Amino acid sequence: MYEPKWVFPRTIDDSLEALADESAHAIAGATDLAVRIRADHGGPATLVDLTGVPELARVAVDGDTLTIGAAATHAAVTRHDAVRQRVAVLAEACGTVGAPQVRARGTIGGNLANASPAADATGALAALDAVAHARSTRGEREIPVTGLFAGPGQLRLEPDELLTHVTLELPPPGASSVYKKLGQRKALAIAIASVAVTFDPTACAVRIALGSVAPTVVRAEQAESTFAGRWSGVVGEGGVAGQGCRDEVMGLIEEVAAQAAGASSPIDDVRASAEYRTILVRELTRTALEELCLAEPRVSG
Amino acid sequence: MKVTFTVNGNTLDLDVDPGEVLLDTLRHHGYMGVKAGCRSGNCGTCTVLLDGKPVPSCTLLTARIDGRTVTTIEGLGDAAHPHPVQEEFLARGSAQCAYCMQGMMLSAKALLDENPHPSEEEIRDGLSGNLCRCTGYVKAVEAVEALAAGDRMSCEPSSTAGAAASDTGDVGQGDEDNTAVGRRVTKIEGLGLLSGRARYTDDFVRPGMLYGRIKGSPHAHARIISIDTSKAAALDGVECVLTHADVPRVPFSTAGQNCPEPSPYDAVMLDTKLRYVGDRVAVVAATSPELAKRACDLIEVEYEVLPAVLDPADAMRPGAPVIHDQPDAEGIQDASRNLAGVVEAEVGDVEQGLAAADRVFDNEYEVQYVQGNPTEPHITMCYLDEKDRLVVVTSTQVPFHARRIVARVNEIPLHTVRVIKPRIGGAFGAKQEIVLEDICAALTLRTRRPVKMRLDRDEELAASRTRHPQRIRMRTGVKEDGTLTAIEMTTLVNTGAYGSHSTTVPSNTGSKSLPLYRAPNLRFRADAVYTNLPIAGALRGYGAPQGFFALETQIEEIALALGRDPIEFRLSNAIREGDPDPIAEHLGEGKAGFKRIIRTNGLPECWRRVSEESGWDAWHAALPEGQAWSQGSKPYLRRAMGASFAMHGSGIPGDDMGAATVRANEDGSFHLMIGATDLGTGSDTILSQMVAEVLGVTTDKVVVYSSDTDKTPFDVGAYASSTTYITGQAVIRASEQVRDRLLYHAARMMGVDESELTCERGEVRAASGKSLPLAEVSSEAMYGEEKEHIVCSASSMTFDCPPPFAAACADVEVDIETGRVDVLDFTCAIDLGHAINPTFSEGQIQGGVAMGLGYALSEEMLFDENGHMTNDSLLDYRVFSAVDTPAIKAILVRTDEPTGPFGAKSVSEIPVDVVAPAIGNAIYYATGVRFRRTPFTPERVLAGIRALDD
Repeated sequence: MYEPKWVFPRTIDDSLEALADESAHAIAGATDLAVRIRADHGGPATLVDLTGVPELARVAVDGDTLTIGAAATHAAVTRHDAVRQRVAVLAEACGTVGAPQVRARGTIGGNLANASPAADATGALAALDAVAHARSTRGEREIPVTGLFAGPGQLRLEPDELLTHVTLELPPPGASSVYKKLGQRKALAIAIASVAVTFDPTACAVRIALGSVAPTVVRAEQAESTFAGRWSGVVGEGGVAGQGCRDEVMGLIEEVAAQAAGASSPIDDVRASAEYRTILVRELTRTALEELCLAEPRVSG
Repeated sequence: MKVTFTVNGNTLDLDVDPGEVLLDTLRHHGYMGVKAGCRSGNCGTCTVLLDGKPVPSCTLLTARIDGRTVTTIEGLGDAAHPHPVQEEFLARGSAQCAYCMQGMMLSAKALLDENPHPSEEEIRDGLSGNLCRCTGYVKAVEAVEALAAGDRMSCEPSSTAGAAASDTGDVGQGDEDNTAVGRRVTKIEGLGLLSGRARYTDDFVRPGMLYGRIKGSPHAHARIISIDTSKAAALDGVECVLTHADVPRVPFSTAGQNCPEPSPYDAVMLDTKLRYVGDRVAVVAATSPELAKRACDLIEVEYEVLPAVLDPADAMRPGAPVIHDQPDAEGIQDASRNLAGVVEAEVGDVEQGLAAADRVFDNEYEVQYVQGNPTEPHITMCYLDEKDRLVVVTSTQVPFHARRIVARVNEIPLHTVRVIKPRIGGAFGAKQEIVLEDICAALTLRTRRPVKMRLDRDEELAASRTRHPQRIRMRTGVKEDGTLTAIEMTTLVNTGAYGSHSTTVPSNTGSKSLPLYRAPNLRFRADAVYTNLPIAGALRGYGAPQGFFALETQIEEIALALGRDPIEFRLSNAIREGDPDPIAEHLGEGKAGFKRIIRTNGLPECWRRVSEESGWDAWHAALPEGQAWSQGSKPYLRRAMGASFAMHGSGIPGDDMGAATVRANEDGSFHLMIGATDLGTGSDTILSQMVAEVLGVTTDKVVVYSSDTDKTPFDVGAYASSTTYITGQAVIRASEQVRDRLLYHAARMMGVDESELTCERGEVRAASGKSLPLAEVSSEAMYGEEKEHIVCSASSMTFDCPPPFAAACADVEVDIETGRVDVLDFTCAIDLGHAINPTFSEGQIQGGVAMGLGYALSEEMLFDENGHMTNDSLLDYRVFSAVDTPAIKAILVRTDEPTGPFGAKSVSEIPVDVVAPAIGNAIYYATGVRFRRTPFTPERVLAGIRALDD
C-alpha cells in the first residue's frame, strides 16, 4: 500500500526545509496526484502540502507590481480586482481553466510547474513578461516565465527549489490584453491552441504567447518585432480611425498573425492535427489583435 | 494517519490511509450520496463542498483536509428538511437518473451562495464541472434561474399539486380533471432521490465483499499461448483468478434481447482468443480494488499477436484475418468473411423505380464510433444468499434477460438466480448488455463470497459498448415534380469485435428512416461486419440516428437540387395518417416484421410549432437576397438555420412484453410491481400515474416496486422506447382488474349494481351520489365477509408499433476562420401521442437532443493503428458540459394514438435522430459546404470551408 509521509508546513522556510529531502514532492492543488497514485500503485515518498502557507496563496498589488503566490488558485486570481481590470488576459486565461471545481483547487504554481505547453495561465504570464521566483535553502533566484521550461513536463528548476511566486509589472493605463483559446469543448477542455496577447499603444508593442503549439509555451518574438517596427508608421497621427489607416492596420495584423503561426511548431495528437493548429494560431492571433488594436481607445481612469 | 474534519456538522476523527481519497473515505463512513463517476476529476459527479467550495472528492487526498469542513448532498438537506435547491430540482424535474445531480446540486448551492443573482451564462459556468448525460442541463439551469429570481415552483411530491400540463400548448388539454395522467407529477422517489438516499449498485456493500477486475487484452487480435496466474494468485488478499480454463465454455450473445437472442452466439465468458483491446484475458477477485488491479498486472500471458483488421471494408476482403474462427460459434452469417449478419428487404422494384426517375441522387454518408457513457459505469455485485441462491445486484436495463443469460453461461438452473435492479445511473442501451454480470457471478460461485465489479471510466469508454459506425450509401430517384420513385439504402456496418445487436441495430437503420417519405420502391441492405475494435451494441436511437443522418441530409440535398423549399419538399412527400408503412412488414428486428398503418401523425403540427418557436420564418425573411446566412456578432461568424424530420417506433412489435401486478392495500393505497426498469427516465412514476388514473387516486397512493426477478412480473426490460407503450398497457389492464374487484365489493357494501359505480378521487362513487372511501372498500375486501386480497396481474404485447414524429431546427453560428460550430438554439417538437408526464417527456427530448449534439459535433472514439482507443478519458472524449449545451426547446405535440395507453406513443429515442442532420443542414447554409460525415469538428469544418475556397 502507498503510505507517503505527509508534511504540512506553515511557512516558506519550513517548506524549503522539507523539500531539501530528495524524496519530497511539493503539492498544492494536486488535481492529478491521486490519479497518478492509482495508476502507478504509488507516488512520492514524502508529500509537502503547501496550501497551509498563507504567504504562498497571496495575490497582491504593490505599486505597479502584481505578485501572485504559487499556491494562489485560479479562482482567486480570476476574482482579484486588479487582475480583472488591468490584466484581462490573465483573468480570462485562468477563467477558462476546467470548471469551478478545478479553478477552486488548481494553482498558478501548479500550472507553471506542470510545464505543460497547454497551460492556460502560463500562456498569459508569458505574454505579461512575468518573472518566476524560486527559493531553496541555498537562496532565491528569478527566472522569466518564458525561460522556465525545457520541454513538456520539464522545468528548469533544481529538485530542492520551490517556486514561491510570480511577479509582473501591470501594464500602463490604455494597454489591453486578451486570451483566445479553442478547446474541444468550452468547459473542462485542454486547449487545441491558445494565444495570449497584450497591447500597449503607448509603447507601440504587442506581446504574443502561444499555447499547445510547441513543446513549451512560446513567445512569437519575430511577430512582436514586426509589430513594434511598423505600428506607429501605420497608425500615424489620426489613430486607428484615421483615413485609410484601417486597411493598413489590417494588413499589418495579417502579417503579424502569419509570423505568429510561423513561430509555432505543433504536433498531431488526439485533439487536432499540426496543420490545423498552425491555422488556429494565425486566426486566433489575428482575431486577438483586431480586438485589441482596432478597439476605440479606452478612456483611462 | 490521523485526520479530523467536519462532515455535515459531524466531526470525524479518523485514521486514514495516507494515499486515500476523500470520495472513498466519505463512502466508507456511510456518506453514500457521494457518487463515483470517473475517479479522475473530470466529471464532477463526486463533487462535495470543501469549506463551501465545490471540489471533486475523487482526487482530493483525505490526509490534506485536517480541520476543514465538508458538505455532502446528505448535508445539503433531506426529505424532512430539504434545501431549496433540492426542492426546486425535484419540482422542475431537473434530475433523471440523478447520479450526477448529487454533485451538481452542491455546485448550484455554492454558485448561489457566492452569486445570488447569476446570469444564465454564469449559471452554466457554475454547473460546467458536473457532466450530465440524461438531461441536457435544461431543467437544472431553469431551477437555478428560478431560485435566483425567487420564482419557486411549488413542490408537493407526487400529488396533484403539480400544475396541469396546459401550459405546454395542446398537451394536457382534457387532462385538467385527471388525477395523474397528463399532469406534471414529480418523481415518486421524491426528495430522497435528491438527498443521496437512492441506492445504486455501488451502494450495496456486504461483509467480506471482494472486488473483481478484468485483465484486458493489450492487443486488438491475439491468441493466448499460455497464461501464468501464479504470481497474481500468490498476492496476499487475492482470492480468485479465473482464466478460460476455469469457466464453462458456453457460446452466447451479450445482447439482452428476446429468447433466443437474435444476435450471433459468438462470445464465451473467457476465451483463448482476444478480439479487441480490452477483451477479457482473465478475471481476478481480491480484497480491494487496488489489489485486484495489481493482481491483473501480475498475470503473465504469452500472446501470439495476430494481424488486426480495423476497417469493415478491409475485413470483408479475401485474405483478411478471420476474427471468429472458433468452431462453436452459432448464428454468424459468414465467419470466413467476418460477416456477422446481413439484413435485406425490398418493397416494389427499386431498379425500376430508379429507371423511372428523372434524376437519381447517389451519395455516401458516414457516422462515427461513439459511446453511451452513462455517468454511472457498468457495475455489478453478486453474492450467495442464505439459501445459496445467486443474487445479482446490477445496473441493468434487462434484469430478466440477465438472469437467463447468467444462468445459462454459468450452467446453473435459472431459478437459482435472482437479479435485482436497484437505482440506475443512466444506461442509454449500454446496459442492455451483459457486460459484467456473467463473470462477476462466476467469481462469486467460485469464491462463495460477495464480489463487486465496476468498470473504470477508461474501460467504460474503450471496452463496454458503442453505437455502430456505418457507411451509408443512398440512391434516391425523383421526378422533376418532386415525386420520389425509389429509395435505396445500403450500409456497411462496423459491429466491432462481437456481434451483439449486429443485425437488429442495422435493421432499425432502415426500418425507422425509410418509411418517412412516400416512395413506392424501397430497398435496404446492411452488411454487419466484425473488426478488431470495441463492441458496438445498443445505444439510444438504435441504428435510427445513423439512418436519419443519411436520409435527412440527402432529402435536403435533393430539394435544393430541384429548386424546392426543403421543408415544403419534406412535407409534401412525408408519410400521412392512414398510410401503410410497407417496409415494416419486411424489416423487423433482424427478421420479418409486421404490417403497420399510421394511425396518428402530428408531423405537420410539429413543424408548425418548431418554425414558430425558432423564429424560422422571420429569420429567413430578413436574409439578404441570395444569401442563406446572416452576419453574426463578429465578421467571421455566420449564423444559419437547418431543419430535420424523423419518425421512430414504440417498442418492438411481436417481441416486446411487459407485465404488471397491482395490489390493493386496506388503506386505499396500491402496490404496483413491475419488471420494467426505470433507468432515470421516470418510468416508475409514469406507470404509477396510470395506476392512479385508473383507480382514481393520486400517485402518492401508489407504491412502486420495480425490477427484481424474484418479486416482480416479467418484463423484457427498458429498450426500444417501449416501457410506456408496452408495459403501460399491462399496467392499465391490471389496474382495471383491481378496480373491477373493488367495485364488486363496493356494490355488495352499497347494495347497488357494479355497473353504477366508478372510482374517482379516492372514492367509489355511485350514480346516485352515494360514495364510499376506497380505504373502506379495500378493508372490507380484505377483512370483511369474503376476505379477498385483491391482487391482479396482466401482461401486454402488441403487433403495433406506432411511430412518434419529430421536427427540429438547429440555429447555429459557424466561425469561418476556425471552423468552430456553436449551436445557439435547438428546437425540437415531438408528436408523442399523449404525454403521460409532460415534464418527463420534455426531459427526454432535452436529454436526447443533448446526446445528439455530441454525436453531431464533438464525440468520437479515436483509435491508433493498433486498435487502442486514444481518447479514453472524459478529458478527451468530448461529452458536452452545461456551457457547451445550448438552450434546447422541447415542444410536445399531442395526438391520441388509439393503440396506446391513454393515447401515448414513445419519446425517449427519437430526439437523437434529428440532431446531426439539422446541424449539418445549418452548417451547409452558413458555409456552402455539405458535410456528409459526422462529427462536424472544427478541424473538419474548416478543412471543408478551405477546400471550397480553393
